[in-house]
Amino acid sequence: MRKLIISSVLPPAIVALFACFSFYLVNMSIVRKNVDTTVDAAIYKLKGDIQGILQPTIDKMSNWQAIVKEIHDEAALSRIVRDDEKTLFHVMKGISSDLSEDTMFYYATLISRFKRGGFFINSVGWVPDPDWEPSSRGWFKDAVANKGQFTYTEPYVDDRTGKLCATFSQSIDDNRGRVIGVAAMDVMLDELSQVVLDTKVSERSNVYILLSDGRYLTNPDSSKIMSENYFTGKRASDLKMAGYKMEDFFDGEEKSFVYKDSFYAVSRIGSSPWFVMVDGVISDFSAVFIHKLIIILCILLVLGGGSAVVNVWILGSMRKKERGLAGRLLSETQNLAVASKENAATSQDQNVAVKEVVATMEDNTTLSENISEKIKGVSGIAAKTSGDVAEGVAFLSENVRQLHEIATANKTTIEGIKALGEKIENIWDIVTLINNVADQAKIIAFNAELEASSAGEAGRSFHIVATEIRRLADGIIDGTKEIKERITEIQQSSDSLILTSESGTEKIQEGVENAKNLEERFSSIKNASEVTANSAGDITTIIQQQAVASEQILITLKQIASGVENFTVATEHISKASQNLKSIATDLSGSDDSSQLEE
Amino acid sequence: MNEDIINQIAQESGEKTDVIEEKQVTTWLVFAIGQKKYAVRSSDVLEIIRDVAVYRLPFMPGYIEGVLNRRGDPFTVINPRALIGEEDTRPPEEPLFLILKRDDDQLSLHISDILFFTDIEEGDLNIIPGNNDEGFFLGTLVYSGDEIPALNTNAFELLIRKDLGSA
Repeated sequence: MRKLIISSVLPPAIVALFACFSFYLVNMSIVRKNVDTTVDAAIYKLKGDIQGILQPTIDKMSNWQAIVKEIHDEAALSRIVRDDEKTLFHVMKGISSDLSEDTMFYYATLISRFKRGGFFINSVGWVPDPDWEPSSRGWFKDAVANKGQFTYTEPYVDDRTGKLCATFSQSIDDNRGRVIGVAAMDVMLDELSQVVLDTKVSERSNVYILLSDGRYLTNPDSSKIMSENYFTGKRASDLKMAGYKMEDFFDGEEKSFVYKDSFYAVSRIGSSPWFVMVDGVISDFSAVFIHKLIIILCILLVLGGGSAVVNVWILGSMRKKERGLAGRLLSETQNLAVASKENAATSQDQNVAVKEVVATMEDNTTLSENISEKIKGVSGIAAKTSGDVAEGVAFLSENVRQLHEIATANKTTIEGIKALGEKIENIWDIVTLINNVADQAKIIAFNAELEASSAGEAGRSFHIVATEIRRLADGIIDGTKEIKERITEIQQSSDSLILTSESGTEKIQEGVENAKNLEERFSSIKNASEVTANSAGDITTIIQQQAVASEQILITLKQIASGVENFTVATEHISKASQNLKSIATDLSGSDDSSQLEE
Repeated sequence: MNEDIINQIAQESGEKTDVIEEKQVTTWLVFAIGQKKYAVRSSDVLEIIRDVAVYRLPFMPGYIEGVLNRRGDPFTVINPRALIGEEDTRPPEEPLFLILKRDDDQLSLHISDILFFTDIEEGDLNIIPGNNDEGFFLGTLVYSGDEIPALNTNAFELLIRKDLGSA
């Protein structure tokens, strides 16, 4: 409970302190901004007031310039002065009628008042010493040296009034731009001091008019005017620490800054060598904000305390619900742990299975590469076979041509054999004729023998001759018989040869037909071998593509295997996380409840 | 030169004649009818002719084929096969005829082939015992180990006379 209260109160308190600190920083930033704005506004107003004091002087100078230009002729001006000097005095008196009595407006010609055409007039009727020469005065020299511009003298104590004053002067030109004189006005600085003293930026702020060397032109302590310098003591060291030297400080640009707990601002008054200086402490501005900040802090603390009480009440009720949820969470965590273990076991099995698949795919890739190599070999053999078959077709064509020639030669041979048979037939006829003659001779011989036998002893010799003739005829008959046998054999051989040749012709024709069929078959084989070669090439390409695809599958499977391993590791982490979650749930539910859950 | 040969042959023949005279040699003409050999005495044969036409005669016995014209003389043509007990009684196909030497008749035998002459001693003729003049075979003679039947030409004449009644 104490922890609960601390955890409920401490964060709002820290937030409140942080918010207050932030609020303080923001407020300080706003204060600084406000200081800048306020100081700038004050300087602007002060410069306006000072300008309001000095503006009549400037206007008088301008009016006098216009008047003098109207009477630009020096001779005419001299005549006016000579004839009626009082008239010009009255003009000047009229111009400066709205000025205070202490303020004197005067004009001196470039020509010495002791010479012809030279004069000196003023608005108050002041009579200078007899030897007083305007052109020897500083205000005169500065105006002539800075033609057309306002010049300022250092403050000095006026002899006439005994007051601190400063002289403003400006050269007066004729219509041709030549300096003809100098107009000047003595301005009493007590008016400026009063304006500055009337100006307040904050409760403890200070406003001064300083010269460019740091001396006071105005100061509540009149003893410090023109005698002491602003850049002395601790202030000078602070300004140096802030990064400002005196010459940088009065370089003519408007500046406002905060250093430590003080603020500073400086601005030049017009084109004069005078500067408005404002300084003060920031706490004049921030005191209100700090008061408000303390109030806000108190409100925040009160709100924080209230919210802490509400939080304690809400957290107490949430704690009750949390215990119930923790019990359920513990039960679910146990289920999650069991499921995680089962998941881990399954993922390990999957990992093993994926590794087996990867190994199988690697074997498959190797087989695909081997098949690709074999198919390349088959493709080469098919291409060679195609070439051999084409060569075989050419040989077959040559063979068919030669068979045609053989058939023609065989036909010629058969015709020759037939012609030979016809000639043998003629021989047969001749032999038959010879045989007939021999038969006749034989018969005649027999008859001669018969006759010789019948003639008895007288026909003995004739009988012998007839016998020899018969034997001769028998020999001829035997010879012709043998010739006939030979002729018959020749004819049989010839017929057999013709039959064989005709059979050979048929065989040759069949051979030609077979060769043609073989040529057609070889052409088919050639086409088939070309198709086989092309198919082998296509198969090679397909196998290569399959190998690439297998490699892709293998890479993917390896990635899957890696993923499964990661999944296994993640599952183990989940299992450990579920164990941790279980212990957390146990802690959440409390020891009593956890023991019940574990039971 | 031929005369020398003839004289030589004559001397050899004379020497043989001397032997024949002593042993009564008879010349036989061996011929063939179909595949069988037969013999007749050469003294019974007048001539051998061939290539002559046989003119058929009507109303003749079966063994008489007809007549042939031998230089203007007609001769009766006998088919021996029809008489000598051959199974095949058809006349030979060859136009070969033995003109028999008869005193008062003109007969011829139709044979297939004329083979040779051979001289046979009388004792070598195997006469058939009890044979008469009407028998067609006189006996047999042996030539080179073959026994050749010897035909009786008179039997043919007697048969014709008997069958035709012209005795």
